[in-house]
Amino acid sequence: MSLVDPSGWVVQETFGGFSDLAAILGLKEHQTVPYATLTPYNNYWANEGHSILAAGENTLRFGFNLLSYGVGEMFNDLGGVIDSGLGAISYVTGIEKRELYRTMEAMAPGVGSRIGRIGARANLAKSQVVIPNKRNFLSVEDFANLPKTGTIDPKSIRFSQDSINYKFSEPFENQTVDDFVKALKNGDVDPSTITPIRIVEREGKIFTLDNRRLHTYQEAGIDIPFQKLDGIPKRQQFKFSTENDGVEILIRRGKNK
Amino acid sequence: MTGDELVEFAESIKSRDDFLKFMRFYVEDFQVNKDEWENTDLASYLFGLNGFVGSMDGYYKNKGEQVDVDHPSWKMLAEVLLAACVFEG
Repeated sequence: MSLVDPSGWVVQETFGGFSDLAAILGLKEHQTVPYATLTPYNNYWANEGHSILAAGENTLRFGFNLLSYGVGEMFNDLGGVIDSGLGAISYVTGIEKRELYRTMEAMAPGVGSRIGRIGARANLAKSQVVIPNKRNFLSVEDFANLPKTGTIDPKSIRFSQDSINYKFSEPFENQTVDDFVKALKNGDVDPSTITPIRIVEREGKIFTLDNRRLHTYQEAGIDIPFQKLDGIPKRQQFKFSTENDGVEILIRRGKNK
Repeated sequence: MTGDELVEFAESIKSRDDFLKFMRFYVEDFQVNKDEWENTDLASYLFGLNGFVGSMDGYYKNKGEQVDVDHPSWKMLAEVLLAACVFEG
């Protein structure tokens, strides 16, 4: 089972053995649960060398969630607490964290790898994204009530692809996502001159077919022009590679891209 | 042949001969339906190709198809080429 925090960014799996308990508590798969934001996520803390601070942050968050929201929600942070705890041990003892995981895996097969995966996801989220406010994705009803064109909160639309390149192609060749975000924020680019993103409904969720533009507008925090399509052209189906319901997208920054 | 029909044809590919027929339609598609291609220059096409190959596990999973992406078929090769036309690489 998985729990997704309201921001939509941090996806953490609870352990399989807790599924029954979670069911008793009324939690459902991919259910949105309260999530305490006590301290800002920070690249510095996510760094291995500062795992003690990360452990402190995660433990604080873990305790706060337990006290504030109950037993069910504390699982949201459990993986992160254990992972950063191991990071702290690693920092103090000099033993590589991966070795600690291997030891754990040898002692209890399945446990080490699961915790490692959860910790890796938590650290990935910390190092790559800024936690935004609560995400309110567009519902099918909202979509039906939209006009054919207009502007909309970019954070209400899902990505269809799982990743995009950091660089734009034509007509913004050699420009990066960050260049475009900066230009939008500075007013150097007039949003009304940019081709609207196409939005479509697929299996009860609303996605864009123009992922890079959606990402830049999300980062700039500016409403994005959209065009609503009645259906998805078959060749556009190939874009639906997201494996997280379009909640987040990976930015590929390869040297050759 | 429309873009939708080309995708349907690709889904029916079972042999190298089918793939060769597909390639003829594919080239024609670029000439006739170029406005439906989003990656029309070589660089963006190659990035699209690269992007999709890296993400195709998710595509087939979302489609409910169990495929071995490490052993591509002629059908899968055709689908990779179709994806390269539009995928944001």
